[in-house]
Amino acid sequence: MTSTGLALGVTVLTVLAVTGVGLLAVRGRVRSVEDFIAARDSVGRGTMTATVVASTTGAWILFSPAEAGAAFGGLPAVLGYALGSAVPLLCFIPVGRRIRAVMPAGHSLTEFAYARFGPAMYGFVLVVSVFYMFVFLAAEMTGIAGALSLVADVPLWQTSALVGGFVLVYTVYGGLVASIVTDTVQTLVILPLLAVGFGGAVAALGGPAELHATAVAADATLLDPGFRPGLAFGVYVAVAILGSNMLNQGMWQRVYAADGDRALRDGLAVAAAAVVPMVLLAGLFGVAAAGLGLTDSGTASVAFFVVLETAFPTWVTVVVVALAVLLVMSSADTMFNAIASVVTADLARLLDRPDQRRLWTVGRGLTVVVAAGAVAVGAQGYSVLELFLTADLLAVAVFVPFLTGLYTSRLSGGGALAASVCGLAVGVARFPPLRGPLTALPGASALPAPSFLASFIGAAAVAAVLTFVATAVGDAGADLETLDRDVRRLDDPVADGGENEEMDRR
Amino acid sequence: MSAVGATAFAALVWGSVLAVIVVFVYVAGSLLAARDRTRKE
Repeated sequence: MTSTGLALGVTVLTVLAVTGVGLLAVRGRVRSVEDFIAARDSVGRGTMTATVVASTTGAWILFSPAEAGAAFGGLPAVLGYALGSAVPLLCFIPVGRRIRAVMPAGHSLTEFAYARFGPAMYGFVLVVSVFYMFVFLAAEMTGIAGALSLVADVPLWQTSALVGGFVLVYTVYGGLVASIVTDTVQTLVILPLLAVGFGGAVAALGGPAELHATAVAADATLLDPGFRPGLAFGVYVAVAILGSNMLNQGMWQRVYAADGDRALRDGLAVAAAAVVPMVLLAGLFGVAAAGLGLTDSGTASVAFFVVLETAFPTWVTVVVVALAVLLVMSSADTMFNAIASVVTADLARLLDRPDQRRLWTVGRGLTVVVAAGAVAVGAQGYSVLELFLTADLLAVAVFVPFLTGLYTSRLSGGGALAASVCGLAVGVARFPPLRGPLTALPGASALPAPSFLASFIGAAAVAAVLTFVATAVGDAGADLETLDRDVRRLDDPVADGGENEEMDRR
Repeated sequence: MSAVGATAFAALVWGSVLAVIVVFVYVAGSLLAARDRTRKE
């Protein structure tokens, strides 16, 4: 086992370096609440690629794909995970263009939900989106705390407080601009670390031929591309990732941050191309762990680290600790700012004449609250898998009706909400983690067998069909051309009462 | 069949490593090009 002091030292150096970059790079660049939560039209295609890669690939890539490879169906599960991680990014190319066209001065997905569908659907989207983002954040903090505890016996609270605290420092100071700047640096470090680390690890384990032979000898289904449980896992995880990412405010912020359609398209397309091999390589560690007989049902979630501890010298572990910390920081800063931005943008709408100083204080205060919550949860060592799946199910039920509102004026808020709720009901009825509580209800014995595949596909399919029906039979007459009328830039003199000078003096 | 599987597996592994390197080169190149454009302006 790596010494606690060494692991903590590497963690401290990593968080200090990233925080330093974040603070220095944004000096003088954040002059308004608009910059703090939107950074509108400021990001070219290289930075767009980097920030999307860094935001979407957290420490989960060191846990979940490997667990999928080890325990949920081998290679087809990993392939489904990898392709499923790329699909939402590709979907955001046309959807992102549409978002920018329909609501050019927008900031958040909840602004769109309110303007397009009204308060009921807005409330539903707000709850689902914030719940998903907070669970993602808590999972990241739990993951890094658990990883350092496993490889170096670092107490959970120390890791959680250290990483969360430093991310908070530069995120409170620089908001989205700081998040994007640090994402760029983190991606430039993460990509070579992954390539060298994973490539070296495969070579150290005897090369692909040796790994293949070992895995086939241990369990031929591990590398069988037609293995049905693996395929089923690949399909439902892809649907789950798609739904949850479409309701990820961090992605909506980056859609607005792109400096044009070309940066949006190229950045998202290359990020999608990057995510596939990253998840695939991480997942193959799970396949390797299972093939080498290093995992059982209790250690599948840390298959990557089990292989690491077993087969590699201390310096490799140190590199992976730095990598894991970078991965967590890059997605944690995105979520800190994303959750704060949702509420800040909504507050700007709710208040009659909000001034910049008040909004900025609220945005920063909310960032602190979100960070404190994430640090506290991360220090507990909870299993967040079921919460994650629950958040995914909520998102899967709502994303089709929600996004359909971008393209048609016929779908009403009531129709969208009904489609979401019915989709959710179907998903809940087949959702394995909720089968226990559901059995207490009358008539529960008539429920079909629980299944993640049926739950996620059922929720998405029912919501999609009902959205189609509601669009066909109803005509809400929503005017998409005027959606933007109630949404203003937050540095607009009309919105802040013409008090920009006040901010300039800060 | 096993030889085909092993070859495909090797292609998957090294292809993925190569793809990550290519993305790194793309991002770094785009950032450098953007910096040069900014300096010229």
